[in-house]
Amino acid sequence: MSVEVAAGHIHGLIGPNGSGKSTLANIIAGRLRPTSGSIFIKERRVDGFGPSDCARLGLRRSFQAAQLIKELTTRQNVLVGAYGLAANVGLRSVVWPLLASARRDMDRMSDRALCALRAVGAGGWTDRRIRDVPHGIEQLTQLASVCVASPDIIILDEPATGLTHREVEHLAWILRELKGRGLTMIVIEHQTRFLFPLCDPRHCLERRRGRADWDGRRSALRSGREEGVSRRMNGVVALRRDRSPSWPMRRRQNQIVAMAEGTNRLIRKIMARS
Amino acid sequence: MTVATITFAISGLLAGIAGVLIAPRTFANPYLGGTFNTFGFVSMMIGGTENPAFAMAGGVLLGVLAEGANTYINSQASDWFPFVILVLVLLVSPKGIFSLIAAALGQLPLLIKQFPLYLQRTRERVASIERPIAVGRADEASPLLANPLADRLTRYALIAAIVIAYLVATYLIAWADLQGQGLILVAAIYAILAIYLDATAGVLGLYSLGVGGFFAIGAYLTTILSTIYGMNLFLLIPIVVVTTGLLGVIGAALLRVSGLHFAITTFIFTLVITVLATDLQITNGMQGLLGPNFPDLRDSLASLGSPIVWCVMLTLLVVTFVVWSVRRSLLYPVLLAIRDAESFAEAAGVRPGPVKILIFALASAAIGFAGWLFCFLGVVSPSQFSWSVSLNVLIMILIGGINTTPGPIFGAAFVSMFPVLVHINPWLQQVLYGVLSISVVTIVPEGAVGVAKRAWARLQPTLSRGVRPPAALDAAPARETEGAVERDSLVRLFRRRARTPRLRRRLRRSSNVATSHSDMGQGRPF
Repeated sequence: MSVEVAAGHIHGLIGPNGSGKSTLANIIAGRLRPTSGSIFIKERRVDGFGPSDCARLGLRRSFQAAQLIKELTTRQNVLVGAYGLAANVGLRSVVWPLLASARRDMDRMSDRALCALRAVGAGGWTDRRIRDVPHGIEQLTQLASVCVASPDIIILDEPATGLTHREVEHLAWILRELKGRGLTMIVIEHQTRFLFPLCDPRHCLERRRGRADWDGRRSALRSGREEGVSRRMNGVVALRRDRSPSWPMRRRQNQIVAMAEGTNRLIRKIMARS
Repeated sequence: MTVATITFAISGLLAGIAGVLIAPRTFANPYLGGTFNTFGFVSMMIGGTENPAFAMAGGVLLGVLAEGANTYINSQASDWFPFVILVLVLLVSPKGIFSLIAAALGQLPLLIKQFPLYLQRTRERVASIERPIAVGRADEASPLLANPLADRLTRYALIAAIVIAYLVATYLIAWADLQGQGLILVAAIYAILAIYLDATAGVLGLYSLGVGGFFAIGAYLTTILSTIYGMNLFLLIPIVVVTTGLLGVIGAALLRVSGLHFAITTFIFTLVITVLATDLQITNGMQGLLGPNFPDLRDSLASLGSPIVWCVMLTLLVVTFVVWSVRRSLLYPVLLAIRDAESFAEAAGVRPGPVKILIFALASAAIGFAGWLFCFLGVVSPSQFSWSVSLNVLIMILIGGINTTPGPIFGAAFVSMFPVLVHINPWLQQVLYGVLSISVVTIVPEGAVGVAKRAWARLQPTLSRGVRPPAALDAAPARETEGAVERDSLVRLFRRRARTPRLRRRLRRSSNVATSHSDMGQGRPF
C-alpha cells in the first residue's frame, strides 16, 4: 500500500468497516506505530513520532467519535486546539489574571476560536456547553478546533456522520473553502455522495506495487493479491477488508513514504517501493 | 449490570474462602483488611489482568517473596515489601510481568526490528509549531469579547474586597483563643490538601490516595530534622518541598498508569509510609514526636498576633489564588482535555505525560509544605497520616464540589469541623459522618458548590436551557450572502505573517480552482 498526497487537495479514503481507514489515519497522525514502512510529512520522516509531534508539524486531525470536553463550552473546546499558539501558557497560568500579556493572549485566542467556530458555521453556539449541543455541532466544533491552529494538513475521520443533509452540504462547502486556502485534506467517509464530488480528479491517491502491513493484529490493510485496495477512483482510495489473516512479519519490504516538500513545491507524496 | 453483580458475588465468595483458609495462620484484627487488599492488588499487578492464571501465578510468587523477606530481612518486612515489588513491576510494565512476557514472546521479532528505529525517533522531537501564525491583534477582538472598563473595575473592586475581608478575618483569628485557632488552622491545612487533591483529581483525573503519605513525609521530615538535627526551620522549607516534589515526579513517572491502578498504588504508598512511621526508631512509633515551635515574629510585627495563623492563612490564600488563576487561564481547557479526551489533547500538540507528571509533582510538593505547616500544631504521630486522611480529603472535595475553586475549602471546613459542631457520642458521630458522606457522594456527586451553581443557573432562565439559537443551520433560507460571515472568518483565521511570492501565487491558483467550483453552483454554503 502506498499513498501519495498532493498538497492543496482533498483526498478521500473509503472502505467497509474494519478495512483499516481509521488505522491508516492513526498511523499517519502518529497514534499507531507502523510495523514497517515509513511516513514522511513535509519531507520529514515521522514514523515513530507521537501524535503531539505530528500536530506540531502542522498536521491536525478529527476523530470519528467526537472527543471533546463535555462540561466546557464549544469555544473553550476550540481553545484546546489553539494550544501552542500562545507562548509559555503553563508557566504564566499560575499568575494568569495579574498579567496584561495573558489577558491579551486570552482575548486573541478567544477571538480566534470564535472565528473558527463562525468559519465552520457554528457561530451561534459559542457559549453552549458540549453537553447541550446536538451531534452535528459537536462535529463542527471538532472541525473548528482543527482549523483554529491554521494547519497545513487535515485528516478528518468520518466528519459527516450524524449530520443532516443540510449540514453535510455545509460541510462540503467548508471543505472546499479550506482547500481554497491551500490546505491538504484526507477525508475518511462512508457517504460517497458527499465525498466523490469533493475529491479532485487529477490528484488521486496513487498506488504503486507493494502491500501494507500496518499492525499485525488490528489492521486491515493486510493484503493478498490486490494489496488491500479494492479500487481507486478519482481522488478516492477504497480499502478492502482482507479475510485471511496473515502473520505480520512478512519478508517483503515495503515502504510507505509520504513526502512533502516544504514551502517550495508544496507537493506531498506517500510513495512506496516493494 | 447483572453480570457485574454476579462477578462481584463470586469474587466475594472467593475472598471469603481465602479468609477461612488464612484464619488459622493469623489473628484477626480490624486492620487486617489493608494488608490483604495490598497483597491482592500487588499479586494481580505482578501477574497481569489479562489471564486469571497469570494473576494466580503472581499471587504465589508474591507469597513466596514476602515470606522470604520476612525470614531474611526483618520480621516486619511483609508490611512494606509488596509495595517495593509493585513499584518494580510498574517500572517494568504496568500491564504485569507475565502478561508482558506473553506479549513479548509474540512480538519479539517485531520488537527487535523496531527498537533501533524507536531509539532514533524518540531522540528527535518537534520543539514547537513550526510556522509563525499571525494572530489577530487585541483591538480587533470582537465586541462579544470586549470587556468594558467599568466591568473590569467592578471585578477588581470585588476581588480587593474579598482579600481585605480575608485579611481582617485572619487578624481576628490570630488574636482568638487557642482552641478556636487550632480548629481553624487544622481546617485551613486540610483545605490546602483538598485544593491540591482537587487540582490532580478534579482537573486532571488523577485520583490520588497518596495525600496522607506526602503529608506525613513533610511533617516527619521537618520534625526530625529540626528537633533532632537542629536545622533551621526556614531552610527546611526548600528541603521538604523538593523532597516531596521529587517523590511525586518519581511516583507519577513510574506509574504511567491511570484510573484505578493509580488510586490503589498511591493508597498503598500511604499505607507503607504509615507502617514505616510506626515501625522505625527515629519516628518514635505510635507516640509520635513533638513538633517544633514556630519562631516568633519581630517586636514590630508582634501586634499582628499569632505568627503561625498568619503563615497558614496566607498560604491558603496563595494556594487558592494559584488554582483560581489556572482555572481562568488558557491552560485550563487543555488540562480538562487531558482528563476527558486525551487523544484530542494529543492531536492538539499537547504531551499529556509530562503535564500529568509535572502537576502531580507540584501538588505533592505543596502537600509536603502543608506537612511543614502542620508539624507546628502539636504532636506528629502516625495516626494523623493514615490512609483514612487520604480518604477524608477525597471526601472533602466530593462534598464541597469536585473541580471547583471554593468547593475543597468548603468541604475541608465541613469535614474537619464536623466532630466539633456535632456534639454526640463519638461512635454515633462516626456512623453519622459515614452515612452523610456516602449519601452526599451518591446523591449529589457534584457536591455543594455544584448544587449551588445549578440553583443559580435556574434563577437565570435564559442561559442554560438547551434552546437553539435563532440562526439555526436548518432554518436559514439559502441566500447568496449567507457565506459572508464564514468566509470572512476563514480569511482572518488563515492570515499568515510572511509568505514567499511563489507560495502566494500557488495559493491564488488553488483558490481559483475553488472559485471555479463555486461558479458551477456548488460554492453556495447552504
